[in-house]
Formats: sequence, structure tokens, C-alpha cells
Amino acid sequence: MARVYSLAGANLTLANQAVTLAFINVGTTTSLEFLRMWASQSSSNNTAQQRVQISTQVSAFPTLTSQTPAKNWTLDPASQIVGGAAGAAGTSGVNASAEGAGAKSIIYPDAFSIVNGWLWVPTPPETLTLNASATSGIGLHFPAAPGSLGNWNGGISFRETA
Amino acid sequence: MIIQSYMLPPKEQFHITENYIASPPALTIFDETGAVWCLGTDMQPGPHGEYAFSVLRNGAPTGAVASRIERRNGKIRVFTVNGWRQWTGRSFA
Repeated sequence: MARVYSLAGANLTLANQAVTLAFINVGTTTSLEFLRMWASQSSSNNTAQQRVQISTQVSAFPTLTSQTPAKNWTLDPASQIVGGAAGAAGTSGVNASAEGAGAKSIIYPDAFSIVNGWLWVPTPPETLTLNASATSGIGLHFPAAPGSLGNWNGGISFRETA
Repeated sequence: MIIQSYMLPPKEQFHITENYIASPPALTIFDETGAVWCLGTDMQPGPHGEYAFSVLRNGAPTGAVASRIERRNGKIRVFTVNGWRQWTGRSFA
């Protein structure tokens, strides 16, 4: 499937607070269809439950580590989304150090065992879409800090549509 | 296909996934040999209208395409357009 990109944060050390693992703010020209999100850790063999949320956020966005989405298919053009630390329109990043004051709307709350990790793959009618110029971003968010803060992975795969 | 770090065996931990765990919603499944199983990123039509993906073992395709991986009774099995298939140690049958 063409024009699919992945924003991935690997081996992250999270702040000891609610934290957004990955965040993408849609741009003005291309809509985004979200196909997959995931989270896992590699520092603990002991099971513990971790809450996770897929949420949208408006107005004031998280402060992130800039990260540009990678192409899933080498022949595709580069993503319209570029790395950015402020969560602005058309940018993406990982591992928020501050969540920003913008209201979050929870779309999909869930919880998982940290030894198994978490994978969200919607059936086709359930994919999420942010339309171009939605002035909104989508985040993979932990509403509470995990017990072990080190060695976290998380990411979002999405398709760019007209 | 893009290979993420979680698709490869970790250096930091080793555990065997409990029985009846399925991916999704679990991200990975570890078997008795220490192999890590997960779904790849190459989306294809799957059973019951679901998306299906290559089944990866230690980050390498096994040849199977499935919408779900499950560990049951110590065996790895996958849900394909042809129904459930079980890992024999070399392939799915």
C-alpha cells in the first residue's frame, strides 16, 4: 500500500508523568488515515498494567523530540509531515516532555500488560482519519506514568490521502 | 517492509508469553525458543474483512499472511484467509 509512513520512537526514557509517546499534527494539504499504533518496553520481565489512549489535541500541543516519519516503501516520496518539536501543523515528534494546555479528546482508551506490549490495528471501517486543515493532532498517550520509565518504544503508522 | 526495533529479539529481557495471548492486541509474542513473533507492516486483505500482514519471526517473514497470532498450548498459530494454521518449527501447516 503506497504512501504509508511510520513515526516511531525507540528506546525512549519517559518523563515521570502522563506522557505522549508519539504525536502527529495534520498539515493543510494532505489528510492522514491512521492504520496502526503500538507501544512496548524492553526493560522489565514483570507484568504490570499500563493505560494507553489514542487522543486528539487542539490549540496548544505537546513539547516533543522532533522526529520525521519514515517511508514504509522506499519508492514513495517523503512524507508531507516533517519533524517538529512544537506539535505544529504538518509536524510530528515523540516522547513529550510537556503535554501542552490544549484539550485532549480521547478516541480509544485501552490498557495492556507491559510484557506483551500493545498493538492497535483497526479493521478497515474503523481507521481514524484527520482531514487536512483539521487544526488538530493525534497522539499516542499514556495518561499515567509507567512504573518503569526506561526502554519504551511507541509509534504510529499512517497513510497520506488526497 | 519496514522493520521496527520491537520486531527483533530484545537484549534486555527474556520471557515466554502466556498461553492464550494474541497479537493484536499484544504487540509481540515470545515462544519457548526465545523467538519473537509479530505482524509485519505490509498490509493485505485478510480474513473476515480484517487487515492481514506478513507473520514475522525474529523480524524475518515466515511466508504466512495473517490477521492474528496466538500462543495456545505452547504452540504458535495464526489466523489466515484459510483458517487457523499452526507453526511446525519450519512453516505453518
